[in-house]
Amino acid sequence: MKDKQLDTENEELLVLKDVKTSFFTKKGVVRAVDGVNFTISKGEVVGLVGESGCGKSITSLSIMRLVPQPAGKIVSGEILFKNEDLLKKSEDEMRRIRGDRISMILQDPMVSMNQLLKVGYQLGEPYRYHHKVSGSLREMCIGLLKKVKVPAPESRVNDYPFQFSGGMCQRALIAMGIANGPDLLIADEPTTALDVTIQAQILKLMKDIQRESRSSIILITHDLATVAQICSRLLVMYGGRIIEKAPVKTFYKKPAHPYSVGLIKSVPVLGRPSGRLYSIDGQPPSLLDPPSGCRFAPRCTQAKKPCFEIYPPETILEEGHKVSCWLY
Amino acid sequence: MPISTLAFDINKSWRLNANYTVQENVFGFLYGYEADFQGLFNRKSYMFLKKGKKSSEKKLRVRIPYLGLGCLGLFFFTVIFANVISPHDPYEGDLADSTLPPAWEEGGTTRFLLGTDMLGRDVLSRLIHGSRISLLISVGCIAFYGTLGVILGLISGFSGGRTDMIIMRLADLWSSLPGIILLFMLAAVYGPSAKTIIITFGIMGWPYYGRIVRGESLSLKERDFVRLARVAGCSNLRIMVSHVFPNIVNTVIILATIDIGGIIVLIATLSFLGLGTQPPSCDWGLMLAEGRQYITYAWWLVTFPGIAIVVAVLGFNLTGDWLRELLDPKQKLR
Amino acid sequence: MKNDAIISAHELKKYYPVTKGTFFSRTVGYVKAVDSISFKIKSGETLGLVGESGCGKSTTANVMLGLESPTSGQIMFDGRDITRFSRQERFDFRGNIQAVFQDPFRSLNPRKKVKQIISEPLFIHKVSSRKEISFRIIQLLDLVGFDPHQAGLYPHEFSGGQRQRIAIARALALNPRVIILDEPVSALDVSIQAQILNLLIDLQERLHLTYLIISHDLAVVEYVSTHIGVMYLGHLVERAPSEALYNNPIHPYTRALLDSVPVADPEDIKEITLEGEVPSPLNPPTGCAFHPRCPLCEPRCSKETPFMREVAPEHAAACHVCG
Repeated sequence: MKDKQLDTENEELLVLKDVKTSFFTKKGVVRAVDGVNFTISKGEVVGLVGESGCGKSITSLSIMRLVPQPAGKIVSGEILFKNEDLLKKSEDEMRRIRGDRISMILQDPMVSMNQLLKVGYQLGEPYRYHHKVSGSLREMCIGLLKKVKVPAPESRVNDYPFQFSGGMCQRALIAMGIANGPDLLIADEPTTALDVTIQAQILKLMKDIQRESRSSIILITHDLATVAQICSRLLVMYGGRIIEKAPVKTFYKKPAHPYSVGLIKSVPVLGRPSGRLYSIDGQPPSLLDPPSGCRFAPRCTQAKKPCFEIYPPETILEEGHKVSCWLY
Repeated sequence: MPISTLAFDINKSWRLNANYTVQENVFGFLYGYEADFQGLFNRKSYMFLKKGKKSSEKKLRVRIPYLGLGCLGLFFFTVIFANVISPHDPYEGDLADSTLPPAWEEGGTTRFLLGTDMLGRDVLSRLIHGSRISLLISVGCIAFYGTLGVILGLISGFSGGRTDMIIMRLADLWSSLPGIILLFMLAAVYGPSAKTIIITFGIMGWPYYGRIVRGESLSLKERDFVRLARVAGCSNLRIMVSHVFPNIVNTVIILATIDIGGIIVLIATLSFLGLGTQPPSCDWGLMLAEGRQYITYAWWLVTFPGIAIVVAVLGFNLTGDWLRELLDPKQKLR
Repeated sequence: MKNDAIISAHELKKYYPVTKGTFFSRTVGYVKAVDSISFKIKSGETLGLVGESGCGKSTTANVMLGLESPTSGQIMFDGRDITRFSRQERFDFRGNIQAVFQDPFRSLNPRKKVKQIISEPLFIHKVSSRKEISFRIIQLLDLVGFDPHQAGLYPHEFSGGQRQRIAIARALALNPRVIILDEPVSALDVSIQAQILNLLIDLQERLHLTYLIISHDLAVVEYVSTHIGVMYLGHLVERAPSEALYNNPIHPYTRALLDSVPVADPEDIKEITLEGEVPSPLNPPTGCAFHPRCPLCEPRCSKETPFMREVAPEHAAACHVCG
């Protein structure tokens, strides 16, 4: 109860309640998102961490209601955005929310842009659509490019995407994402395709923009280091479920779930003396008809009998730190 | 589990299957229904697993295009057993039996099930023997230009540079030659016949295959496994034959299967125009052409050859479509 | 003799001509993908090459593997220059240097079974009889942690990490002395990454292999390498034992690179030290290639190209200002 009150004080922006998204394929039902609960408050930067195929991208697509059709379907649950259930909205209402109140940045900047349209035109697109205006909106686009620190925005507006470098393209996409001042920005692996030095620049930019606009950000990534750099809270996802939720500082000091512990230990760290890396044996689980117990149990060194049979409930360790594991 | 217990259950056709689109459900009779195969396609690996660890639940769900395979089966049945099943000689007729209607019509006899033409030849027997001509010519054409196209496409895509440019410009030049006019020419010089058709289209058709094979091998040659084969010391020929070709052979098979349907129509068209096989051949197109003038009072002379063409083309096209889906490696990955 | 380099590169250059026109083409310029780089690797050691995309590290790998011939320079292997080999010599030599590439989904032929993939090099080089080959397959599969019964499966039946193990087994087939690893773990998940890195280190110890590892991930390179070379726009800007590079980086680019690697520690928030982006290799800056982004840039940096200078034993950097 206490937890809930706290959340309302912080003004919940987005609440996911037991969301399940499945893909109905010829081989069977793939439970990509299998009962996900979390809350995002206003102005919060939350990291959603997990390996490929753990369902993190499908979670974000479920929020946008853009799950690939016809195979994919949001089976059950509630997605409350400003206390309204997105799953009950019509496609028309959803279209008005997408790109206006919730917007998204995707992984590969080079393919996220239409190569045949000028950057300036594409930047104005979200505003043009949602505010029913036409025209080139040149001044606004220059302003946006300035905001994301693209050099010489006056001439860059007239460039085509192929004239932009990868980092520059990602900046332009961020500009597109924030064009309408969204309440929630979902960034799906925004820095993965970029070089290290550019990565650092983009992360800094996102941090600055967030501080200025006070919009919430969900950062989806496989990289624990990226999360540590800009997020205040993180959610660890494994096998279609969220297994640990924690404030960033607590998480890196005292990770609770054996998977989180292994994940942190298995990343090579600069300057740490060489030796064998800790490695989690086995392969990530298939989400095709997953077992009823803890998804991590087959790879877990501390797994006991109940782990294989019943899915562990969420345990509150301390303020804001929750874990789904039978060890606690 | 012995392989003999091959699970084979056909989804009820009246129940909508949630895994498929509405279109696939409604036109299920065209696309075919889904059946479960256990250990049929991956029998080898299945046995391997049985010996080693637990036999994993290997299941391959495959839809079977019953209509397409049925049409194709009928076609090949008539090709193979033409001599056995045809009730009469397709080339001999008695003028006394001229233009008899099919058996169920008034005046028809059960001796000639689908009636006779104006020379008294049995339409059914002619149709059955006609399937051989259709298959012979279409397979001949495709074998001819398919081989040429695959070899030139492989060389072009794999060597790149100037060789590639020359072969591709040659292909452009080739495609700009009007095939029908070349056929007229050859028919005028050597006389219209099945051989002329095979040679003309055999020469004309390769750029299409060449371009597709070149495109595929261009992307394949950049793949890391080709680079690794180089590192291991493979010669260019070996890379082409053992690494690139197996990866495009599916595409070629699919193209060929779908192409055959088109060529059967083309041959019929040519025979109809008088450029193809000549009387007394029982080519379907020729039968159409001959029956055309009697259409007002002997409808069976044009209807049955038309149906035969539709059945054969439908069989090849539906099966080709199905093969494309079945042989797609991504299908197996899912 | 024991401490001599097993493989080394001297003044290696690879230029790609930029041409105009299709049939009667003429060269209008060069992209200097690799420009005069030199390094040596001792037997049993690992050299890591790091750099951002477009710095020429993959081209270096291709040249070392003999997939592309260098514009100039030498690659010495056991005292012999492999760039001057004849066809037959090159073929015989192939077994000494093998490679593992980045994407395990693209580096295995999807139409071949695992045993065919692994044994292909053996067949080409006709090193052993059929019976010996099947024995060798089992041995190789065992080395990378597979059961022999998995030899009959196709690559698509394996996950990314398992496929990378197959690729490693194939690379080991001819008993190579040097393996070139081109981004061996970049396409893998974090938990699988550690498995593969550990496997590579184990194999190195057991088989006394020499690695050249190429990656954009400084942490991965630092973890497996004994020595590190940092590349920028086709130039090798710094070369040092990995501890020295981490503790005492000389070149400003190395420092910036080290600083911008994000750390999984929220108490250690990185401030960016490097603005701007890598210039196009088509039109590289004059003088030191790094000078437009360099915080320590001096007037002569834009005029003179710096050469590698030793600052400590085995530690060299190409910078006018530092070192």
